[in-house]
Amino acid sequence: MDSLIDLFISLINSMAVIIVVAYVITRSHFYTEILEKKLTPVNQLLLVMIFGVFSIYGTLSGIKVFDAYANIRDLGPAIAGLIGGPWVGLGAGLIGAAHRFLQGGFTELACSTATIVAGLMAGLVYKWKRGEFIGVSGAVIFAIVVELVHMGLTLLLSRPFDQAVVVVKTVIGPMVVANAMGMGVFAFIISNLMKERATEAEKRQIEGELLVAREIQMSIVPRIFPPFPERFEFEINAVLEPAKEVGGDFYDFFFIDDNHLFFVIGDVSGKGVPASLFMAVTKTLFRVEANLETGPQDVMSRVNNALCRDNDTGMFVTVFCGILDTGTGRVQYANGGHNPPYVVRRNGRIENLSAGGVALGIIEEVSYKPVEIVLDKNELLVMFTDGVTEAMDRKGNLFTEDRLIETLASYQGIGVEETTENILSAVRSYAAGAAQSDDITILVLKYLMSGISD
Amino acid sequence: MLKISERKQGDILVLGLEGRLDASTSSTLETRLSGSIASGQIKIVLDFSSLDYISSAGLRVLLMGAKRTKNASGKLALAGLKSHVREVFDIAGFSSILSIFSSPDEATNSF
Repeated sequence: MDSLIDLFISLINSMAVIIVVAYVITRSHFYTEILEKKLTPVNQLLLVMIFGVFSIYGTLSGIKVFDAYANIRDLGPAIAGLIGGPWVGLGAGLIGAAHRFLQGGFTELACSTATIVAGLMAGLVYKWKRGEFIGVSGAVIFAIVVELVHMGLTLLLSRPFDQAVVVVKTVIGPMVVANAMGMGVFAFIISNLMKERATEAEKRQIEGELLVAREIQMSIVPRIFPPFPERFEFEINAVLEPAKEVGGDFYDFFFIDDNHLFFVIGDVSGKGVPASLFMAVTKTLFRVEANLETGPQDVMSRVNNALCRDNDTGMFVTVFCGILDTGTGRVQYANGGHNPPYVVRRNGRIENLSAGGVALGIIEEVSYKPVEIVLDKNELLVMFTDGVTEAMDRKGNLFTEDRLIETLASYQGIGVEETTENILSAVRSYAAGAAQSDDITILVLKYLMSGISD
Repeated sequence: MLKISERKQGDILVLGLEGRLDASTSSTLETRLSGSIASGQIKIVLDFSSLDYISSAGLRVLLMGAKRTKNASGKLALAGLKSHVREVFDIAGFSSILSIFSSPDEATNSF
């Protein structure tokens, strides 16, 4: 009985050595290529050598039982075949077998043949699974089958037969258990590694998607300031700070004729690539629809109708848009569910441009209310998205409209660029490092001439 | 955080929302609503009495719920909105689109 326990302990010992080596190998760069199915001749040869040596180590660490060895020699070729295919399994098997054959003994033929068969069988499993790893339980069952085949071959090929029977009876238990355990642990290491890699790949994909969304967003809004250096009647400036998981904020401004500037700011509900695409469509529609004759409220209705068609996602966009008459300071605007902008008057008064309408993309044939104001010299129109007012500090408290008004009130008579910067830095210092959960967008228009009311 | 409680009143499902309905929690409600509607529960009241905050992501889920229940000849009604939550609905123009009631009872009676 003692000798049987010794046998177990020694088999498990050698198995542990193999596992440590296997672990180191699976963490190497070379193994990463194997997992990626880059089975170049060099990689195949490396696998053959490594697992061939494994096989030899299995023999050397075996324990002699009546002129035969109880060992885990078959494990190396079996693993090699399972991860590298028939040729790799055969190669490693041949190395282990050649070495075993040189050791002699009355089971030499059976034992060496079994080792080659182990590698080949594993290679066939690889083919059968089309290169997919068989999994932990599959590998363990496979290792058991391999050992049973090994025992069968011993009975078949080794003579005298009665001595072969004695050997098989003694080693069958330890060898099946040790090989199965060795294979189990090895398969476990491999499966874990593959899972890790899958998670990593998924993470990379998500990050890639975030990057795409951000690129769509940042490449679609005008980013050169001042955009119209030759215009002396007004100044315009904007910032867009995308959140890590990009929301769908956007802004745009362009001339629809020599003295009418169309401008728009919007916020798409939702995040990531879908929101970015919806935003891109919205912005494009505004470019197409904007014209002087119909005014911003009709531009908005037409864009709304276009967005409502085939919109099953429930996505919508809040928009504030307007047209500035650069000659008179007259601003016509319409609001589709967007946060009402502020006007900073010359006397320091801050007005809220409330004019509610339904956000765009929800129901067709909505009409929007046209509203008109006149900007006088140095008066500001400050537009923003809820990323500003709903920026959170670490405790989850919101920045709020009140703080925005405070910020606007405390700086007077400054340019558009300073205004956007002031708001942004006020929001940042309020958030004090708390994660930014939504895009922050600010669009500021300043009229530099004397406004002319009708 | 968003906590959703549930009770049935006749054939009307009343979901009580507690906490915040924002970008990170709205998917919880979306899954819940989609599941209910898909299983044929098309009369739903959302009790907002304990809801402190709603963002545009939350509005989108409500809109989706309203559209789907309506398509199935049902209804999604909202009740008990706090004033600052109601304000978000007003700004986005949702007050005119969604069925909003002052109390859950009033909402269930509207079916």
